Amino acid sequence: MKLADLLDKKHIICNPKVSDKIELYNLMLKSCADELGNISQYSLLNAIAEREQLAPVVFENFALPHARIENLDNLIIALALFKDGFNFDGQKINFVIMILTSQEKSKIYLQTLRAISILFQNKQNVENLLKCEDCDEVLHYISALKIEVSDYVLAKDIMTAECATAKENMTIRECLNLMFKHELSGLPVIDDNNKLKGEISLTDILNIGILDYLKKIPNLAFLKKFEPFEELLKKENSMKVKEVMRQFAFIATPETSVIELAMAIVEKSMRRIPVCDKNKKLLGIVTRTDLLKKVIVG
Amino acid sequence: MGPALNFYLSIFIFLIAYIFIISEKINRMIVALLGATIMIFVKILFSDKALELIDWNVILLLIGMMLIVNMIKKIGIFEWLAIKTAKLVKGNPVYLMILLMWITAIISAFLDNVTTVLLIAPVILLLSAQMKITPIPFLITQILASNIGGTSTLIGDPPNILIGSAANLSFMDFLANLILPIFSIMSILSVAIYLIFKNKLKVSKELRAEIMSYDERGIITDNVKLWKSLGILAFVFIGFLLHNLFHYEPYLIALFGATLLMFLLKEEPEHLFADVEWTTLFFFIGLFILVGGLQESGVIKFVAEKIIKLSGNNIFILTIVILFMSIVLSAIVDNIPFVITMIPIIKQIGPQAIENTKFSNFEVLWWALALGACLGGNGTLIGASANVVVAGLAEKNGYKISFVEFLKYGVPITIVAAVISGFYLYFKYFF
Repeated sequence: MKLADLLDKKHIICNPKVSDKIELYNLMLKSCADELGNISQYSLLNAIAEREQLAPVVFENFALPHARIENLDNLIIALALFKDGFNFDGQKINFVIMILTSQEKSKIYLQTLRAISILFQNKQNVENLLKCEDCDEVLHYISALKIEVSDYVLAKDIMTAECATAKENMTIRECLNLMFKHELSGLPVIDDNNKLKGEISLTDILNIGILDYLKKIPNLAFLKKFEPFEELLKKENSMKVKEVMRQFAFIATPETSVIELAMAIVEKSMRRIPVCDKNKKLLGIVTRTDLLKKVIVG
Repeated sequence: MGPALNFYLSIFIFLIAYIFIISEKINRMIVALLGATIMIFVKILFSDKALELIDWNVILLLIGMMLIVNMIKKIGIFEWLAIKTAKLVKGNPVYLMILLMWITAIISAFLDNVTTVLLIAPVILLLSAQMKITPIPFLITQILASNIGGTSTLIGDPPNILIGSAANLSFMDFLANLILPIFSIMSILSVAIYLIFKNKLKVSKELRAEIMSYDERGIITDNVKLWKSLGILAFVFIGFLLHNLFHYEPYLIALFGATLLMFLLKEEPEHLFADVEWTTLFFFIGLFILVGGLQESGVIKFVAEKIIKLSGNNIFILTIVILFMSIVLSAIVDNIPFVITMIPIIKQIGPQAIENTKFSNFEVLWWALALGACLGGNGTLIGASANVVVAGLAEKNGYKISFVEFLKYGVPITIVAAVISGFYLYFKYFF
């Protein structure tokens, strides 16, 4: 599917004369009136405002107000262009793209967002689009770009590529410092060639300090004074990450689907899933929060 | 197939299975069940006969007791007892060792030995770490006490369950016949431990005070569960004492108690049943059929006749031979296959051995087998499951119980046990 096919020239507005955000939103919503049927303008604005409060919608020179709308069974994209810029919450931007989608997950929603950011992050595209005189020209230009929107989400779309990693020969102390610095409870472990070796979690490290026999006593309520970390403090400078790390229960490829990722998190109780290429080189990591931010809430 | 061929074929299958079970290269249940099914496939046994040979009283009694143990072990009674004892003796290590031995012996008499030591041993490791003394003597004496205590009742150790069911002996029969030698052995062990360790184990006042600061009340969190469990345990205990009076098989008491407890504690049966040791149960089933094959092909009868001939059909010699053979073999190999094999042999030789004697039954042979098979487990580090399990736990916590170290305790106590059992049986039955 092409991005241009999801756009409708009715929904493209060039250089509207509006003074503020709400006026713009109203104008854009009006252009979509046919598709929106009897959904009230008020509830739409509300939904958009709510979403704006969750996370900022302004990126470089474009804003992406979006919302999931009850009783909407469609994906609607409205586009406004400002040749001379528009003051959006104090930031000067040239494009406002409004996306409305159904309450249930619209499969193409996330991919549409990706396609749009590809479109507007390219300086050449921005320049050429701002030269357009009317909506036909805009649509024509976008369709010539042939930006692809796939209707499914894969690991590569939601993974975090720049993730913190531990080296297998690090000491436990160094690893703990790294976790502390990044506020992470676990890290993928790699070797010098960026090859994935395993996973180290705070739980595994704490486990060093808990003596085996204590685990076999079901209730330690009587032991108020016992200090469990002596053992850990003794070993943290000599023990290496590779002695404590364990294997990931599931390793994703860039092409792994969201359902597989979700299954690994639910069924295998994983907190983070590594994404590797064929040679086990680590490409990125998908966490539960990635699924929350990039798929579920969107 | 002809009877002669069956005779040798069954010996062949049995011996191959036995060798693999002893070598521990393959899971013992797999070997036993494979041997058993082959016995049926080659038609040494017919399959409906094989089903009859499985002693369901034993299997169901084991299941019942496993279920009960799985429910009560979570409550913390045993950990509470161990901590309470440590405080009672004010952290004196020798008294603690001896008292814990007796506690373990008594609990093992009613519950599975492995479970008992696995509940007490972690607390011992904690206490000894706190007192800064080695846990090894504590752990070894725990093993010894658990095997000795387990000998005293019908449900204390699997050999007794097997013997009780096969010989139709009641819980009371076991207690009445075995309590005296068991008590004597435990007493001798206690005195020996006191003499050996009273000057060896020293713990400072300060470290003892540390133990006194434990608040054992924190261990048991659910008092309702506690009292329900203790109530059912008492009920089951009384049931065992009286089962013979009302002609109820022991399995009925155990299953009834287990089901009632499950109901009262609102336990999830799925979880409880998942923790039942099915491999052990199927090991028993495999062995029943394997030995049944030997019975059907006439091997057991043949061996029994040889034994009678060799012993001159003298019941005293038979008793002593069974006792000592059981002790030695149980010290080095798994006692369950041994006992399951011995049961039909004793059934065969018993009636002949008491012909023309003052004996009206051959119970004495069963007691010799029970005492030998259970007490022999103390001979070496691999003599019983409890030994292996405790050694494994100790090693995981950085204390290696070596084979030789264990022998220093195991051999003397096993000799003491053998001598006491021998004299006891002699004075009770032949004097």
